[in-house]
Amino acid sequence: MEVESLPYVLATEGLDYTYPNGTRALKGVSLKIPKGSKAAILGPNGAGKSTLFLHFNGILKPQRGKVIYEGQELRYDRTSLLNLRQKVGIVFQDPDTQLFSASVVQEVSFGPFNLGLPEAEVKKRVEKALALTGIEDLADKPTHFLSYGQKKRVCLAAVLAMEPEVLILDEPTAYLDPQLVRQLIDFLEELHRQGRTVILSTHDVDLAYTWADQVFILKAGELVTSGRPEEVFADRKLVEEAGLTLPWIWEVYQRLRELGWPVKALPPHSKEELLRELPCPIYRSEERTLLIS
Amino acid sequence: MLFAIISAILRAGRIGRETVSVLEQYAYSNRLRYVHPAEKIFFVLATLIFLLATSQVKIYIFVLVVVSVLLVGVAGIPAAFYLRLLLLPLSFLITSGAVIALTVTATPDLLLSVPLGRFTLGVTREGLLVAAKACLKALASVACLYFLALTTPIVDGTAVLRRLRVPGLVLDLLTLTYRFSSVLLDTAIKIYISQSSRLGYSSLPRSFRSLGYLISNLFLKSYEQARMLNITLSSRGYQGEFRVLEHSFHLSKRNLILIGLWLILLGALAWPGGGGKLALRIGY
Repeated sequence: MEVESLPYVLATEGLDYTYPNGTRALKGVSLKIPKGSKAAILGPNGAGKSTLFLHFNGILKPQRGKVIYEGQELRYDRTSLLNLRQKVGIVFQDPDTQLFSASVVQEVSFGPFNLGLPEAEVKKRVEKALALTGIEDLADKPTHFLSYGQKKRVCLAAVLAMEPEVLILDEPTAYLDPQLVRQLIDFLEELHRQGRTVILSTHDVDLAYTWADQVFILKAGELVTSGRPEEVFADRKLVEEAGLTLPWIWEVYQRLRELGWPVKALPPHSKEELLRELPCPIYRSEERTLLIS
Repeated sequence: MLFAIISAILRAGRIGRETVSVLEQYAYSNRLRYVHPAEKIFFVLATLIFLLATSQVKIYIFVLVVVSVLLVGVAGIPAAFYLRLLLLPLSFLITSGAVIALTVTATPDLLLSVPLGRFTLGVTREGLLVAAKACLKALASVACLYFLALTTPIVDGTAVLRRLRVPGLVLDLLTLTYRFSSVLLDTAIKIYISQSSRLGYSSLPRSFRSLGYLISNLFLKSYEQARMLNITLSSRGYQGEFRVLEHSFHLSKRNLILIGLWLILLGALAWPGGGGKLALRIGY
């Protein structure tokens, strides 16, 4: 599938943003996120990932440049913003800054009520969001008794209850144990299958490489490179200059190729794919052909 | 001195935080959780008013026993935890009770006495009775409040207040204060632990400095928290009103009748024919 031919859901043109304390968080960032893609914004700490996200949802207004949603430049009046925030939902990194309510149900119902939905519809959406994220059993629990992973899920449910078309997650895997990361990624995959655009920020290159179909690398407020993961990681120098490393799957694959192993032309995207493609030594493969025939 | 006080508060905060969080856990999981909060609030308020209005010891004891039985037997609060809660105000009650019991007089017909020059400091029979009465009254009232605290989570309480047309702004503030006081206390405790683990409280001057850092950090963190909260709420379409789903409770006829009977019973006990008179003066 040719990604370039797809329409873009979110785009920025020459986006500049300087914080009141003088930090230049974004310097002329222009990027395009294809509709229905899985996009990873990669970058070291302080690269401007969170600032960029706050622009996508109309929280920050660009000082120069523009933000485009579905081909339309963002407008910052009340109705347009409310409309935008229904369509573009952000799950923030620290759940304690997002959870304001004393009960899980109340927290999740907050967004849908802000959309002006009637109570019956809100109830339905809350139930659906809790079921989707697998936290029905937490419904009546107070938010401050939850574990970190549970709080994260509540935050996710609170945003999903607004049924956004674009889901943005700021460092979603930070502090999560491997099993929870696995579950989260499977869940995002499911959302992607339903046709939603999912954008996440991370500095985990392995995650970005395996999961994303579009990778953007930010460094000190500038877009260094973007494209499909195998295009982006092909330039080792650029990636390393941005303070990142190459994904280990990519490195192993490259090394195998350098050593002259007969690997496929298409690089593997997951550990499983890599293991499957690991070629056997000659005698083994003869053995195998014998066995097969 | 100041340091000692603040550090004591912090330490008490840590213990208090644990007690409060256990207390809250019961509020969310007791067997009276799904009784209409208005019924529980009405029961507690009416009983409290009764307690304040009457001067009869038997009513105090009666209320104390019934409320305790309700909490332990019906709501399912473990007796040990409930007793520990009841002991909490006891130190305060004993000291104030002692002050009430003590009398200074010139006529030394006292049960126990210490001569103080021309006067005698001591305890009279009446003084002792008055003190015991006051302590019992306070204890019974505290038990009533515990009943509310242990069976009704704050979210249900605010739901009732909303029904009673308390302004939304007040309730929103209540919700936010409740939520973020726990975040604030947790942050303070985290900073305290991280400082202690680096010997931040190993000497008096160092303690002062650490405490200063802790307090100023807490202010900065709270400010940052408020700023982030504003962002996260706006990104979910916040427009100045917290509208959330509230649990729908059903008033139970049976419970209302029981509360009515309870009040009639209290009235009958306090009635002159029932062995005393309902004294509307608050006093001993």
